[in-house]
Amino acid sequence: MAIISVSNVEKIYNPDTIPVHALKQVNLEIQKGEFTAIVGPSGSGKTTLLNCIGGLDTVSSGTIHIKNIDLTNLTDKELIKFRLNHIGFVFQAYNLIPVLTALENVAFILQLQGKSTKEAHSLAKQMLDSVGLSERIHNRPAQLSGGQQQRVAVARALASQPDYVLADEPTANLDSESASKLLDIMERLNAEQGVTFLFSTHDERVIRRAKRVVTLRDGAISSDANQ
Amino acid sequence: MTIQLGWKNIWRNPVRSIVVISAVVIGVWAAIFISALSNGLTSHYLSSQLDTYIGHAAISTQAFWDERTSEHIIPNEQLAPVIKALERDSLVKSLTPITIAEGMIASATYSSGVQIRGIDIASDTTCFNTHTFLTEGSYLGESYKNQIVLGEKLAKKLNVKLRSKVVLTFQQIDGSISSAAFRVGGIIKTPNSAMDQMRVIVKQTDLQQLLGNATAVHEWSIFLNDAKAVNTWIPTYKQDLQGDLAIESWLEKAPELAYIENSMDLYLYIFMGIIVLALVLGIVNTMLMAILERTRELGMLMAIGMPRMKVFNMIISETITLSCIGAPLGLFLAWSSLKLMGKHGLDLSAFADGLAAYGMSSVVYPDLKMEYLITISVLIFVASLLAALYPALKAIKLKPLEAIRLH
Ligand SMILES: Nc1ncnc2c1ncn2[C@@H]1O[C@H](COP(=O)(O)OP(=O)(O)OP(=O)(O)O)[C@@H](O)[C@H]1O
Ligand SMILES: [Mg+2]
Repeated sequence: MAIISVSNVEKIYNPDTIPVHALKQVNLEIQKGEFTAIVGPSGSGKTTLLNCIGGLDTVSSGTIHIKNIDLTNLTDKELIKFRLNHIGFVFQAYNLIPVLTALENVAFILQLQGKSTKEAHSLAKQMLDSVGLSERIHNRPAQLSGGQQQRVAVARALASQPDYVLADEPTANLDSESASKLLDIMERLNAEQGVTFLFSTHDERVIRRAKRVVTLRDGAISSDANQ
Repeated sequence: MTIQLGWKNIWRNPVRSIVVISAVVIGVWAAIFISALSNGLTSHYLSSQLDTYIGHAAISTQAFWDERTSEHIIPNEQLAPVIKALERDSLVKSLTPITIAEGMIASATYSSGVQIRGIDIASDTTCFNTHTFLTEGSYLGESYKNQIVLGEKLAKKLNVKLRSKVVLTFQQIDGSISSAAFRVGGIIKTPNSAMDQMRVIVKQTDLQQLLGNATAVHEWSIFLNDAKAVNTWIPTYKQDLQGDLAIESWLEKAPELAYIENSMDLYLYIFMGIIVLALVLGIVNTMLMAILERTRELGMLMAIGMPRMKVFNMIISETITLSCIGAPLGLFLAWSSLKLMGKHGLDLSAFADGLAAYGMSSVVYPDLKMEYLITISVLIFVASLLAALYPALKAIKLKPLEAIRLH
């Protein structure tokens, strides 16, 4: 069974004023362990699709099932809880809490899930190890490079043991070396731990490393290929 | 965890946090200090009025109070048992009989209407403190007959000095007008210079003789150990007094003093209200700024799954922490500055002449009422809670997506 199944999703922004048809009849299934890039020109609907799949935005019609839960039926409060326990997020920027150290940032989400500080810290440490940041766990975001910050964000996204990780242009603010290092880590986690990644990108070098590429054009899927 | 995060957030902009803390400190300090000071001023004013001019209670005939003429003397035999009872009363500190005549004082160059008070020195000095304001001469302690004590201002107007002669003119008890020469034996300067011009002091025996009745008394002034106890103390005596005799407390004799006390309470509460309001606005404003700056971060927190309730608690805890640091500091500051001032008093002598016109003396001691202290503490705490509420509500109304999208 697919982890994510998007059926006939339509998204229209501002339906009452200046309607923007951002997603048109999108159908998409993501299986556990996939490593998928969503690509397409600017304005094609990548962010919109990821937001809908992430339970951050509502669809205008159609359904989004995560396993057998229909996201479109959840209340705002249920969605927050769902995101906490089922989805990992990596944003393009402004990802971390500036007053907390790398360790505390990762531990924070575990504490939100109800784990004790001690347990959260030891798990967070493991996660930071696996993204190659064991040396920097007591640094605050401002003391880390952009690439290191994104790796902390990946560690946090994975720490909560989500069903899948969503990343909207995670490398957009990184130089190519940091970007490729981040991709290395994501690939390894995907290969070793079977973590499901779904990310959008403009970057050709990132696209080349995806196992599956879904192309959006004007809000509709124009191609979907394994590579 | 949210409280920890809140605590860390406070120190991301230390200057701003210190501004909020200082605002709380200054607010608490000002509210407490100023209320203690104005309390000190009122009670100081009150006691100086009572001790020098009014007394705590007085017995007289109703007719004397209504008409102020010297024919309405107290029937001494009728009052005697009451005086006995007063002398035995443990709440009563002291009492003194006064003979009073309204009349004129004249020198070669000036004349003026005055109240002539014939006092019994021995008991008067255990009641009133007028004698402590003597600046020249003696307080009716000379050996000659018909000596008079005048206020400094009045002496100046009459253009008289110690040992000068003045003439008092007043109505005798039988209605005929009589004049007598008096010699200035002493000059006083009480805090209330207006009062000094309105009354002169002579020996009771001298006045009684001139009035034509050797036992004439118009008023008994009574001092209690505690002026504030007068309301509970007075009713039994009110019942006991027969005929035209009546007793009045200082609250009845000088309702304006009671009014000052009450209205001071009101002013203080208004004043505190203003301070608290300013504090609330300051806190709300600062916290709103703090939240505005963190919009994206708060959006991210809610996006990754931080419940709104926790975001709410975090913001509240940030604000409350600031006031919980500020309030005790303010209390401490207020306490120490009051302590310091309690030792030396606040010397208003630079304004003493101005104040004297209103009957105040120049050194004031602050007097903090427990009632105010509690009210202020509770007010500030409630106010900072309320001030925390609005920014926190604002924060949880953020839509995570819109907050993240902001650039
Ligand atoms: N909040 C919004 N209100 C109105 N229109 C929107 C909103 N968000 C996105 N759109 C519109 O929806 C369409 C899809 O936008 P989206 O951000 O999903 O594109 P994208 O593929 O992520 O683009 P980019 O590569 O530039 O990030 C665009 O036409 C955009 O203008
Ligand atoms: Mg986008």
